[in-house]
Amino acid sequence: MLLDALTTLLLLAGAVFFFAGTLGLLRFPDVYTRLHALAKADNLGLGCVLAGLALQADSLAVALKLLAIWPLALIASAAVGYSIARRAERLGVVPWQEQDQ
Amino acid sequence: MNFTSAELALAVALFLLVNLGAALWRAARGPTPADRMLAALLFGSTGTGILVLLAFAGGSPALVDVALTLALLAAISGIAFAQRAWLGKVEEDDAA
Amino acid sequence: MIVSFLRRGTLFALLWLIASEGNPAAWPLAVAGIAGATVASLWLLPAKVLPPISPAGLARFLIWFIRQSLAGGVQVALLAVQPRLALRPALIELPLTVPPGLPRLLFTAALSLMPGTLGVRLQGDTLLVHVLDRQQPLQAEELAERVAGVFGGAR
Repeated sequence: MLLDALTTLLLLAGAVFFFAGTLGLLRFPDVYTRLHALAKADNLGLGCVLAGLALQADSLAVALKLLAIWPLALIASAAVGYSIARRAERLGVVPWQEQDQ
Repeated sequence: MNFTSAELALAVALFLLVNLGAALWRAARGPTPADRMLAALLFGSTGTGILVLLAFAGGSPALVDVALTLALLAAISGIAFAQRAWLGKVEEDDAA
Repeated sequence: MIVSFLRRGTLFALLWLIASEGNPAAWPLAVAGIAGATVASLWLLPAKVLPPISPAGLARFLIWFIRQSLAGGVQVALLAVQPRLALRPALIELPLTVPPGLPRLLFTAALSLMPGTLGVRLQGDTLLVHVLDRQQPLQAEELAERVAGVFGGAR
């Protein structure tokens, strides 16, 4: 019962973080800031979802398998995020600056 | 509240699918080629999330293996992309 | 050589156990897979090349890093849902104190998942970093210390 409640909480939190990541991707002004949104918010969302489902797993092995996905996703994000940022910089994409009021 | 965890998982999976669609639209729209590369990040995180949620909601445990493989491939290809830049000393031309 | 063979073999066996959910039916495949992975890992990353890793330092690093990446996700999520965008981005040059190779790799990767920072270009001994808020203090020094702790660099 308590596990179910925790799972509900974690799945909803995951959905919120994924939504925030998408919102950042749509709203943020340049590729660098969008990368921040995706690399960080989406990974946190995935972590919440994985933790929530691991609580419901039938065996320890399944739970560990679910949790093993998270570090892989983190590695992918860090590596791909770096590649994209470097490519943008090499393409001469100038970081967005806020306007003084 | 009257719903099971499986139903919630299905609902969240559908919600993530909508997110993925919106995000892919942005990635496809650009404006720079670097923006389009953001799609690669989306499949690693949102794609994996949808797969594990569906595995739980649909009761097909094999989808967890698919998700694990997808995450593994995303990590390996990400490292392959970044490796020369991280470990290499010279910046060669990679205009392709 | 033998020690690192056994150590890595145990690691891969553990991974196999998790991935196969403890199913013993495919044991010949398991033996072949674990042996193959161990040999390949020793070939691609020989024990000589690998700097010594402190298990305690690694554990401390992971706990700290998970907290940092949670904070990073929460921060950027809050920025994304705010009605007014409160971004003050900038590119800054960060002189690197961690040694090249694996420590530097870990530093760059971890920095990109921490609050407000994103590695853009590694060149020589500086890392170009994109920050979301240039008034937010960088946590690079603490990260460098913790990375040094992972690789047994007692300070």
